[in-house]
Amino acid sequence: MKRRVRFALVLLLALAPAVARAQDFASPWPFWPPRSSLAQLEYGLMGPTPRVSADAAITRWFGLPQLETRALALGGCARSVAFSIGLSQTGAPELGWTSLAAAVGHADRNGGVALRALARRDRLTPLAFDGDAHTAGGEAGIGAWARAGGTFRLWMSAPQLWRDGEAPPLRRSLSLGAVCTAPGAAAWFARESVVGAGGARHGEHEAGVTLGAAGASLWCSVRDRPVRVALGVSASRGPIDIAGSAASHPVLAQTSRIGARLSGGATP
Amino acid sequence: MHAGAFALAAVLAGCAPADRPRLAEVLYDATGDDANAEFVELLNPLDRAFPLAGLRLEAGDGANPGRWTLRWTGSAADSTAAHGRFVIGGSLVTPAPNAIVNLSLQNGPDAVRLVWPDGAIEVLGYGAVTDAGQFCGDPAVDAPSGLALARIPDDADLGANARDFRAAPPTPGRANLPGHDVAVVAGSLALTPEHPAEDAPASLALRVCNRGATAVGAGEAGLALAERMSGVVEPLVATPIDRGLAAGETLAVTLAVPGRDPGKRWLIARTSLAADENAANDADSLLVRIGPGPVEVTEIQFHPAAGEGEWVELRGRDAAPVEIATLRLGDRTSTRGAPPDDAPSLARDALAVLAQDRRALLDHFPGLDSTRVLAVTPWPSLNNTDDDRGTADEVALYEDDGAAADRVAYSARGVPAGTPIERTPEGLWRPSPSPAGTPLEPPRVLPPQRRRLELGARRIDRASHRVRLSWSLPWPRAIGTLALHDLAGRRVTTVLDERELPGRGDLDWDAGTLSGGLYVVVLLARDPDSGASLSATAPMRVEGPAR
Repeated sequence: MKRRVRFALVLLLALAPAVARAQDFASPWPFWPPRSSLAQLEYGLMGPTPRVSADAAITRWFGLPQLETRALALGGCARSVAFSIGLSQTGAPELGWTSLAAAVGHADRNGGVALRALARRDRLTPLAFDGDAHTAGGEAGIGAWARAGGTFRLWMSAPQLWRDGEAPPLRRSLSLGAVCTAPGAAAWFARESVVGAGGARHGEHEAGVTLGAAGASLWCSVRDRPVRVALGVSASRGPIDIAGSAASHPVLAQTSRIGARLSGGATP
Repeated sequence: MHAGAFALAAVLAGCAPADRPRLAEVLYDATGDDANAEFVELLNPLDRAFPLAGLRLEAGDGANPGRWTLRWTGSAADSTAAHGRFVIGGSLVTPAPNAIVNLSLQNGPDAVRLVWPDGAIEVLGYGAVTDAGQFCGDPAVDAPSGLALARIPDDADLGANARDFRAAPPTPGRANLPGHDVAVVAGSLALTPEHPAEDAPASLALRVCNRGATAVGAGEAGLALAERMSGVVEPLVATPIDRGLAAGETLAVTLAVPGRDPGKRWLIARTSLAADENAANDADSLLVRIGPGPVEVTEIQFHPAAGEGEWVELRGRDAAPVEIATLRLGDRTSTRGAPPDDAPSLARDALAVLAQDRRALLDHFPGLDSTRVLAVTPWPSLNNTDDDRGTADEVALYEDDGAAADRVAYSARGVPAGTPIERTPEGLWRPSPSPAGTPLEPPRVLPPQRRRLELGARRIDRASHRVRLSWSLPWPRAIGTLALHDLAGRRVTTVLDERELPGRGDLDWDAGTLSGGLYVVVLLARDPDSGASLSATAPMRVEGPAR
């Protein structure tokens, strides 16, 4: 039983790595599993078995060295309440910004819900928080999931339900998704509402499959409008987990991510 | 004898009745207004004077066969000298006619005739006259405006108007085909270069023609060049024409023009020939300018792509302001467009734009100083494609005296569609580095650029919301597009639709419609010749709240 649970969790770790566009706390891990503090901060989604962890990730957007995100997050739990805090910095001076985020919520094997909040300020020099006051902004949102029977789960994420001040680098709306797992494989589908130029709304869709075994997984996803393909791998040994992913684009260079995580506490 | 018998006899023997003066020349369609400028010339071939009393000059209406109307009747005082000419014409004819009358002749197909008191008739029909009574033999050609119908040679009488008369420059009171006449072909003078630099030599090309009936031997005729400036005539060059000229032959001649002081002057070329019978065509002149003109063309939009219409930018070069209203804009045709009468003056180094559609241009470039954008009417439509010589068209600016202030012949080859050409500070012409052009902006020299795509600022200020996007491609031109993507890779907007781009260029773009956020500018370009392609990206932060 213990091995089956572990196997299922490994599969879930690899789910939906690109669902709901990330920005400040993007990571090569999927947002779903319980060990990802970055996912809690980014999407407000909290896994069924939160525990203490330290996560670090680097994202290079579209191959642009001046557009790189470096994120660090800490997660923990007290009784049934889980929480995460994180700091990230994106981009070269003049272009970039610094973000401070926190998330808090509750989850068990049947479902979970979490609130996330983030404060952001542009910066003019490396490693600083020194942008003009008018470049400060904040956002807050919510994420939740629930078991829908058997191995079928539904989830939603609305990371920017509230915004104020300077616009976020990327506007993100509601994402809805479903995942179905089976021994050694998983398939998932998601739809995100997108506000385009001029306020026009449309939907983007993403589908993916994951293949994995204990301690390692390989995943692939495809997104539409425009067609984008992402590939990722992750591996874990004891308390250490590493992952990497690359997402292609028909016009832009690929976006690559790497991450490492150190986690403690009992393995679920 | 019956009048009809006289006419029949005239046709059999020739169109002109013997033993009396005959029609020698008719000008019925003078250049411009015909009133008082038309004439009919008679030539007396006899060795004695011939009275014209009772002679009737009548005009026939080609549209109404048999309809003749009287234009003039000879009085007792009218007479032609032996071998002399008698001109009946309007007051504007030079030299003054022997009999002044506004003839009001109609343009062809029509006819004129002389009716003598004894019933003899000589008729001259021209154009497609159908009434047999309105021509002799076959009607003569219908002479173009400005040319006369002249009997050539003066004693021709070959039994048909078509054989006796041909279109020729008017020569009232003079021989139609003189025995000795060497002329400078009118309008044949051309200076190369058109605007010589100060003290720089130039060459004047022209044509001379032997319009006489007699051949001219080598060295018999001469050619002299002089200039007239501020009313003072100064001889420059004199040389014999060292080649013989057969009757009717034309010869191209080039004269070396020594370096001159700057300024406008007339160059006058004059032929000389002993016994020349027509001095009126011995000389022709050309208004030229040494040194730069008071204005110059600095940018030409000859193929607008966004409905802004064609336009031409000009810059003042004179220390004294130039009145734009006195300038005329032309192309290779004879069209000369005029700016409005209330156009402002153009100071030195100041710019103005002459526009085909002023309103459309101001709509397309809302930041332009509207007082410097002037509509030109009529607009000389500029060609977009090269001819066999590699020239699409030319843009010429003329001063009020007709002198060319500047003239630019351009090629459309290699110029991206929709992109104007501009004059660089070095005086060369190139496609504008800005795809839509830079009206009312001096030409910019774009410095070398290390990256394929660069932004004027990576952070776009929320107040100005403007950003300069510049690119440097490994080809002189390319097919390219500029677009913005968001951080999720979605295409947010198109900055520049796919079009031809100069290899090195930039544009000033208004990002005011964008929501605040982070964007990636993407340049996609391909070389139309080799098919090679590339892409370049640059991130851009736009300040402001989300929308």
